[in-house]
Amino acid sequence: MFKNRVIIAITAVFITAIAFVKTEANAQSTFKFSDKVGKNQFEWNSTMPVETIDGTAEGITGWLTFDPAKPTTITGTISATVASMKSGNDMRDQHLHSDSWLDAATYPQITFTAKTAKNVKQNGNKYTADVTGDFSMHGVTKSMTIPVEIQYIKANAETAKRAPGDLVALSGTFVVPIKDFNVAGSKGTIGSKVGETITIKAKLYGASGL
Amino acid sequence: MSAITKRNTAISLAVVALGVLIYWWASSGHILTLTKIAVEKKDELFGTTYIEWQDGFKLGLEYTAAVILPMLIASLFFYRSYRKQIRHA
Repeated sequence: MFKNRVIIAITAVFITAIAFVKTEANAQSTFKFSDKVGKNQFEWNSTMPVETIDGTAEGITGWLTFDPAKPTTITGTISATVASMKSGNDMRDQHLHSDSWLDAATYPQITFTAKTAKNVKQNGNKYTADVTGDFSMHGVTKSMTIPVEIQYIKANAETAKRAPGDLVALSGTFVVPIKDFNVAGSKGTIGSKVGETITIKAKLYGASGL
Repeated sequence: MSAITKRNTAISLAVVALGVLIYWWASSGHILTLTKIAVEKKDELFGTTYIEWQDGFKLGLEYTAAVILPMLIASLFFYRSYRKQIRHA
């Protein structure tokens, strides 16, 4: 009788331990970026006295690992397609994709690989952090720290209409000095019609169940 | 053509050219004409915004210049012709 109780108790402890370990393992979810969740976009802007140019880049792919209970470990990879970059003028877009500018044929993707997160702060379901990683564009990779905001929404009836699992929205604004990425542009254009730095706003949406 | 007609034509062309220039400046001020317009939309679930490109037209300086330069040259031509006619009268 006593032996049976001991066996039952040990089994119960074992099952609880397995459940705990499984929960811990699942706590850090991988969120896959998808337009089903929200419109994934990089908005970019060049501001010069002569003209302000606004555009977008789409064709976003990638993923983010994030644990709302332990948000200090943020990693992931985000890629945007150069050929998807638009500015509202077809001729300018063709120039932008050409080898004088971003050379979409040779370097089809702009990528950011998030490696570490610092200064993580939580306010309700929103988290802010300084994410450091490698930003690659036009064949050049540079380390960059980007202040990001992550909005986390636990799976519910409303989120299920978009995608399965928990959802995240990630936004971040950063500045890219284009000459540092060997982008020469048309002669005399950078610094006169196009800014030497481009401001990029990332707006990304992912789900853990995709 | 009478001197008065030449003067009125010169003034009309200059006024129309100025009007086109003001329209360009007020509507966009862009160097290149936009045929797609970025419209900001709101994502209700996240409370964020995103850009949607819609068909549209915002006049650029290249077309503005193509319209107003011939007008200004013609206006100058009529004005000079008017002045010449007045001097000889």
